[in-house]
This record gives sequence, C-alpha cells and structure tokens, in this order.
Amino acid sequence: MSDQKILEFFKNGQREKAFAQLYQLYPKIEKLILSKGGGKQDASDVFQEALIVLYRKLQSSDFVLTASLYTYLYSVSRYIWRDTQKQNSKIPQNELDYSQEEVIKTVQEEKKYQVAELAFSELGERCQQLLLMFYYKKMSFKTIAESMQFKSEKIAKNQKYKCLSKARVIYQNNQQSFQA
Amino acid sequence: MKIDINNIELIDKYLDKRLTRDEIETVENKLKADLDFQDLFKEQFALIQGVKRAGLKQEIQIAKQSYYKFKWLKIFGISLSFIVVLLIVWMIFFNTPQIETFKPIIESNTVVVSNTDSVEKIEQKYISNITDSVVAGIEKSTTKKTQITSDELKGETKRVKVEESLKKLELISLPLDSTSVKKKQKVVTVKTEKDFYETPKVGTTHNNLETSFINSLIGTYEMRLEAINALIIDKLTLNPNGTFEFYEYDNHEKGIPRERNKYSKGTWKVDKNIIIFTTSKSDFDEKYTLNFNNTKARFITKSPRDTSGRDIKTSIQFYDSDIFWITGRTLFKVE
Repeated sequence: MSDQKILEFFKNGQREKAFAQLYQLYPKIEKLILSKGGGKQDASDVFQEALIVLYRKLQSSDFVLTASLYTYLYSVSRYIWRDTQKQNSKIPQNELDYSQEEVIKTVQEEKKYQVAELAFSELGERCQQLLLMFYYKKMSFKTIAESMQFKSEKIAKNQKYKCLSKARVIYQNNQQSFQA
Repeated sequence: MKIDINNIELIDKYLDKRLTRDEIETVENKLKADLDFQDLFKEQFALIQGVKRAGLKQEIQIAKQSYYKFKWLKIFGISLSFIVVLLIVWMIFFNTPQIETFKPIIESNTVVVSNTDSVEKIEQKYISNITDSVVAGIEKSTTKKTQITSDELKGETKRVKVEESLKKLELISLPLDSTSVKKKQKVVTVKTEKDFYETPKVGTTHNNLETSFINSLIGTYEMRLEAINALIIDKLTLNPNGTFEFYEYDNHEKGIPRERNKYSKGTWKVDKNIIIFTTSKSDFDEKYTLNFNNTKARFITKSPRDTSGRDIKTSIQFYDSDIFWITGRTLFKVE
C-alpha cells in the first residue's frame, strides 16, 4: 500500500488501519534489530516506539515527510535501539535521511512521556478507562457518564479530576525516583 | 498554588484549542508570569501525552494482531493453493487409465469386464460394452480351456455353454493391433450361471463348436408307442430361448379315463451333453401339471467324426426323473 494511503488513514482517524499497514514493514525492522544484536522482543518494542514517534510527528503541524515512511521508521528504530543500548547515539549523518537532531529531539521528548505513561499505568482500571475516554478518544463528559454509568456529567468531571490528580502524584514521585 | 479543578479545565481547553482568542492570551500571559501554573501546565501536558501513549499502544497491539492474523491466513491460502495445484497436476499426469491391470467388477451374479476409457451398459447387469481393447476370458479348467473372444454388438444372440468354474475366469487385455481382431468396439456378456448369452459377430474366434452344439439341440422330439390296446405319444419341443414344452397323449382301452393328456413347460439348460429341465411355480396351471424338476436327458447324435455307415438318429433319452414313467424313454428329433 502506498504511503499516501496510510497518511490518509491517519488523517481520517483510522489509526488501527494505518498501523496494520505499517506493520508490513516490521520484518525489515526486525532484521535490523536482530543484526544489531537485539532479540525479537527488542525488535517488537523498538518498532512500537518508532510508530508512536511517527504518529506524534504526523500530528504536529510543522512536520513534513521528506522521504518514505519506511525510511523514517528505519532511522527512528535505529536511533531508539542505539539509545536503548546506552551508547553515544552519534549516528553518521549519511546514515539518516532525517536530521539527527530532529530524530533525537523527538525520541528524547517521548522518553519524558514514558514516565507519565508509567504513572498512568499505575492507576486503577476505571481511572485509566476514564482518562483514555476523555484525552485520547475525545469523548464528552455526557457520553463518558453514560458509558461508565456515572449519575451525572458533573460526577464524571469530578472523577476525572481525581484520577488526574492521582496520576500527577505518582508522576511526581516517579520523576523524583528517576532523578535520584 | 492550589490545584483547582478550574485550572485543570482551563489547560484542557487550551490544549484542545477550545478557548477564545482573549482566553488564549490570558493563559499564555499566565504561563509567563505564574511559575506554579507553568509547572502545572507542563505536568498536565506530560500526563496527557502519557495517556495518549497508552491509547496508541493499545491500537498498535490490535494492528499487530491483525497483521499476524493476515500473515497466517496468507500462508494458509498459499499452502492450500499449492496443494490444489499439486493435486491437479497429479490427476492430469499420474492418474492415467491402467488398461493392462484392470480387474473385473463383480456385481451380484454378474461379472462385468470394464476398463476406464468407455463402458456402456447395454443390458443391465449382463452386458458391458468395452472400447479400445479386446478382452479375452480364459477359463481355467483341469480338463479343457475355453477361450472367449467377444466382438461388436451385432447379430443375433447366441447361447454358449460355459463351465461353472467361471469364478476362476482370468481376464487379459489384448492390444488393438492384434492380428486376430481388427474391430475396435468389443462386447462381452458373462453370467456366473452355467450358461450365458453372448452377442458375437460372425467370423470371430468364438467357440463355434459350443454354439453349433446348442443349435443342434433346438427342435421337436417325438416318441410314438403303439400297441393293440394302447397308444402313447410324447412330444417335446426345445425352444431357442431356453424354454421347453412337453405333451403326452395316452390312450388305454381299459384306462379310466380312456384318454389322458398331460402337459409340462419350463426351462432347459445344457451341461456337457446332458439336458437339464426345470419347472418353476409360474409354469404350473390347470393344463400344465407335470413337474419336470430333476429331470435329465442325454442327447444322442451321430458324431461328425463317425465315418461308419451306421444310422444313428438324433434323439433325447430321459435317464433320470421324478416322473417314474418317463425314465428310459427316447424321443427322436423331427427333421
């Protein structure tokens, strides 16, 4: 499938379809990671992270795709793997189709959000469900209240506030632990 | 700074671009001036990105599963197609008809000889039409061998005698270019009883001796026994279709009644030179009352090899029967 079609899926909010198509490229990325001494699980984790980075960049208004999706995913995957290996991620410029700085910046930003994701994963199931509905699926409090059987929108709103505050506390604690 | 629900809601709206231009300006000024609000903003932004990451990971996992599902379906589909192609190739190139090794199909009391090229049923259970091959049956007997070669379904049906040991019938296939046979379409009729019908063409290597022997039996036989006070006339007709009819006229001066007419009918068959008569239930009625079951007769005729001048009339001599008075009687063929 062409890159254009995949980009259209993303634009129309059909993320699952777009990711499913991008998984066609997975065998090549897996081969790359295996050739660099990684295992199959490493390859799976790296590719997943590269897909998140790609999605993030596509969401930002200033990003312009100057090469194929495969080239971008390959460059990002290679950097993520090197970063994971705690090596000085100085990749020769001629090995990257995208600027090294661009890739490094995006991946490092994403690492900050990984800490927040960890805090989110420590929440209870209902809190996770509620926050996902509001922030990821962009559902209204009215719909959330109906879906999660809250008595009113206000209760749903209060519950979301409590869940976010709880995540904030966990996030702050985790940050202190990482800094220590 | 006190984290109140209003600030959280304000940041949510700002990030979702749901604020007016003035409200946006207010938030941005507050971000520059209020460090606590700035920290709150950064934390909330990071947490929202964390939530989004979790949501993205869920969708990526679903996409991964559908990718593997599709991959295995593809492998399965390719394998299935490969197997189908192999089967077709096998059927085309290796499943050819085995003309030389075909076996007879035994169907009830009938031996049907066939090959896979073309078999046309002409008479149900009795006749098979075999193309592209000549089939010869060799009867394995301890005393003699009878070769049966069949030909096109043409001409009259002839009755042929065969041995009971047809179960031992061995079938062989002869090539078309055999010097003895030049016609393509061949017909064989085989019945696992003592006799069978065949529809041969004149001029083949069929057992003509057997056929001519049976033909020589067909006809009417009579006996006339006349005395001063009595007259007995017996008349027996052997029909070509395997049926017979027997009639006896009996006239005794002192008989009660004086005149008697006796009739019988049924079927006849041949075993070597012995004629065996059978009367079935359907043959009996008010007129036909004589039971010819277990009645056997010997066929007597002059051998073609007999060059002596003696006169031997063709006749039938009853030598065994449940009808006591018929045993020993000889009926001469009416020319």
